[in-house]
Amino acid sequence: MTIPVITSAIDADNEEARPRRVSNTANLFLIPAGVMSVLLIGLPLLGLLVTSLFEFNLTQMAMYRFVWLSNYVTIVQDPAFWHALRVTIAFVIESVALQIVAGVAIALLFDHRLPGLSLIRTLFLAPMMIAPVFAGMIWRLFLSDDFGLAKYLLQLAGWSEPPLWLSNPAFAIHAVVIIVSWQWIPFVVLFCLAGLQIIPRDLYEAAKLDGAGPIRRFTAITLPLLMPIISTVLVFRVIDALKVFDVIYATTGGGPGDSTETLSYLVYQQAMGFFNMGYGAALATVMLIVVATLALILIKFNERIAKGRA
Amino acid sequence: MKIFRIACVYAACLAVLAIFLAPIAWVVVISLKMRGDIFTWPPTFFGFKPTMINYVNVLSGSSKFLLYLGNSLIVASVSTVVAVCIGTLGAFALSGRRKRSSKLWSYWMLSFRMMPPVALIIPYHFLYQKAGMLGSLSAIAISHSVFSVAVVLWMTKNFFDEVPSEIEEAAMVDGASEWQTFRYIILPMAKAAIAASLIFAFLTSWNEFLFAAILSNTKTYTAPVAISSFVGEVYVSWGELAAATIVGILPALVVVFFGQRYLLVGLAPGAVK
Repeated sequence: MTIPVITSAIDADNEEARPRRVSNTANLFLIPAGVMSVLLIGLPLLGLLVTSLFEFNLTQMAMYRFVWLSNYVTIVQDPAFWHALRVTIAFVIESVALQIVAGVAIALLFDHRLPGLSLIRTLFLAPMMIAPVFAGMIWRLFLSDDFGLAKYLLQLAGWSEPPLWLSNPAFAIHAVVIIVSWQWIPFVVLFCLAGLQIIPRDLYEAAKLDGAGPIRRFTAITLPLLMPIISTVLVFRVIDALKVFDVIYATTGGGPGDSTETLSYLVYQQAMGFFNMGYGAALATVMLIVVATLALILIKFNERIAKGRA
Repeated sequence: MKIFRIACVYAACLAVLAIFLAPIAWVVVISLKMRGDIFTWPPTFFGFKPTMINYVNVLSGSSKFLLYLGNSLIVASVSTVVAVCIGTLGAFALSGRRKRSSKLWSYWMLSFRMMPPVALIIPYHFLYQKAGMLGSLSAIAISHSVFSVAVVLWMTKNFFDEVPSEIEEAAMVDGASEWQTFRYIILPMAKAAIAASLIFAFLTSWNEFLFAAILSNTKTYTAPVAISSFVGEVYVSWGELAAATIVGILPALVVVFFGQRYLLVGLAPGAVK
């Protein structure tokens, strides 16, 4: 299994695959998927855009009127939006940095050819596929102030009064970072392990003969050769972190106060909490634009890294 | 010296593993405790009398959680079947072809992985309300299936791309139609890839929360929605909550142990070939 960068997988098909007979039947095969995606993604997104131009609250059904872009003007002046944006950006930076650094470090540790290590590597992946809502629940039980193991372990380690992680405004967002990272560090490790395997071992032997120490071997060989994979992982992790919702819903509910209110949570709250469909739709549209723009920039950047090193 | 190094590597690996599995292990422990044992301080890992009462309560006929597990099972199964049928067809159409349009379609399907699901909740609310399907399991299954289609399409496309074109050409020379080639040549070869994509599609739906939350009512909750509804309750049976959580994550754990080879393709479509 090799890992080129995102989207270049698409390009690669077109370069490598030999031309096949162009056929119309095969294109018919795409119709169900195409129709479905247009009906359930394309049109709803169009609907979102239209809704965002209305002032429309569900609790006053009769009251909806076309207000042009005034919802967007409100967003710019809404301190809750800027707060949510700040929280989201801080969350993305903190959680992705933690995941990448810890992920690379653990991958290096796991990249030894020793008996039994493959079982450890497999077990290590367990948090990754768990539903985020269940992950949140697991950590509520683990961090509980009444019966949580975490509190006990921290006390054993000498921290006599560890914070109430999820109900302290100063710590709640970091607790969410820890939960999300717990789920996704294994993903980074899995990727990096795949990447480490394709680095030729004789490079290290040669470097050793030239007198390079372990740190030098890491910075001169491992890191540069791992870079394309790290940047691919980064794209996925940043995009996912931007969308964070489930874990927050299951643990802090945006609180305490508004300390864990991310963009996704703000949209949810406006739409499903206050039934402000027009304003919520405008917020969702802004969020969509932020995510799409960032995704495009990251993917382009990622392609450049891959090409530069190849 | 070398042995010392190896011992250190093992110790470090085990320590990392222990840290990552501790929260899950703790929930297993709580799920096996009576109410009184849960609240003893300092908390005990082993020194208590294990009980299955929490599992029995959660999975008994009178418990609503069983109904919600059933809902999850129905929604995930239906959306998976739909996704595998539609997704493999689409993947075949998109694989190894050089038409520009197919590339655009590939990007379009890939973009679902990037999209914030919260952007769809408002349109979905109106869509299913208009269709009179708000609160129904089919609304949830339909919403899930479009994302599962993308998962299946990406995982099987990866496989189809690697089928040598000679095989298809040989079938064509023998007079097989495109459909026959797909049905009798390509599909049987792709059994493993399809099985993997099936598992992932199932898990995509099983784990999904947001759409299930906004489209369901108290009769059609899925397991994640049911679990999250415990949050606001005053009286919570922590032991039962822990047992329900363990039951809810079992499918995920099974996949990790048996489907490891496919994890990357399933989780990061487009990045792995």
